[in-house]
Amino acid sequence: MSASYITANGLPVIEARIALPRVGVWHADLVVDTQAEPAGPVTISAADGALTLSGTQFRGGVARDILFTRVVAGQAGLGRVAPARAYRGVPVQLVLRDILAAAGEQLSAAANPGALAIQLDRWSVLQQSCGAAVNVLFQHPALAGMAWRFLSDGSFWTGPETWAEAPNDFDLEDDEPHLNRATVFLFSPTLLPGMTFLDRKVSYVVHNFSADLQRTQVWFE
Amino acid sequence: MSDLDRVKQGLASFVRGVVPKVAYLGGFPALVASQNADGTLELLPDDSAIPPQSGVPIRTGIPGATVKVAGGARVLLEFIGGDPRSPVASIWESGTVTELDLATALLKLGSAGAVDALVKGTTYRTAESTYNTLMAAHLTAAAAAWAALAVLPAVAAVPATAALCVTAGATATAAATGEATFEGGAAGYLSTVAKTI
Repeated sequence: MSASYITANGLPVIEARIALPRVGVWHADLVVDTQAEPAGPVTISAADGALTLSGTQFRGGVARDILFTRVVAGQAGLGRVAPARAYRGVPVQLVLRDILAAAGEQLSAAANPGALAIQLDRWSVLQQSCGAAVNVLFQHPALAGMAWRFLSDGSFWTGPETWAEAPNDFDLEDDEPHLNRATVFLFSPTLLPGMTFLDRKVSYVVHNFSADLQRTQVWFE
Repeated sequence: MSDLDRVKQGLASFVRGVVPKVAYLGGFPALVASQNADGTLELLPDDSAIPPQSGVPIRTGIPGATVKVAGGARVLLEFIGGDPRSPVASIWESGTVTELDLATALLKLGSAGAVDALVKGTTYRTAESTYNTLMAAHLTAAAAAWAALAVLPAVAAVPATAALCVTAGATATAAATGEATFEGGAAGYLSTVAKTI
């Protein structure tokens, strides 16, 4: 499996480091065989279709005739400023919708309806980054146990973890219990945070691809 | 936020992201737009980064104390424990207090050694006025009785006794006049700004 196994908008990726947190925003640091920065959305794909990520270049540029780019999930919008707004007697969905609208992001259709329907007697969003506004919202006691993250399709998801069993198609290269981390070769990069792998709950996944290396690091809860 | 280099900016953003409640831990000066019937306030924070707040309870800092204020007062808006669910109006910067209520079993003015009870004005004045009315009637009747007695032939025949009757009648009249004068000033005896149960 070579790095061109991964493409960005159809262009061959020379190196890729794709970080997928269980809570938060995934991002991919790519070295792409092109001399042009992406003009719009970036789709990162694995040749076998095992992985498709939709995002936006957050920062990048061309050096040495190749593109170095950081692609962030969705519109890379959580750094934008959420307007100050106060709420009385509204569901979580309304507050979340307003924050995501300020960020230019989309709420996933798979978001847990129970979480979205939780009633907020009173809530205040200060003028701050949309990411901070989301973080403080999810500190509401009623949302305890609800995770949030961006999905592969670039949409914002929230809900309780199901800890589904991960596909069992890998070679274990290293297991470091003292770091709660394992390094594996995946025959197909389908491992995601929120899954159960090696009988442990997956907290953070980093897929690394290059011409002579394909390795995935997994951190556990 | 002071100017930071790019590396520190990233760290600062990360810290703000993982401890977002820090932004709620300040005291935010605010204008009282109005006070609701339930005593809560409609607040307009000075900082546009803080949204206007509706139905904000007042924390006077004294149990049993409630306050009514005119619009235009200025107060500090706080979020208790940095919780966006719990705004309160706390320290007053300025304002016109239209009513201050202290619900307490005992109020001591001056010091802990205060032992003389305050008079319950309205109750006392009502009783006093009733008594004064009776006294005024008595004194008026007494003055008339003394005047009639002074001219009885048997009393008039003893000038010293008649003189005493005249004097007694005059003092009774003066006392009745005094009662009327006292009651005439009743509107000024009771405070309009301090009341008790």
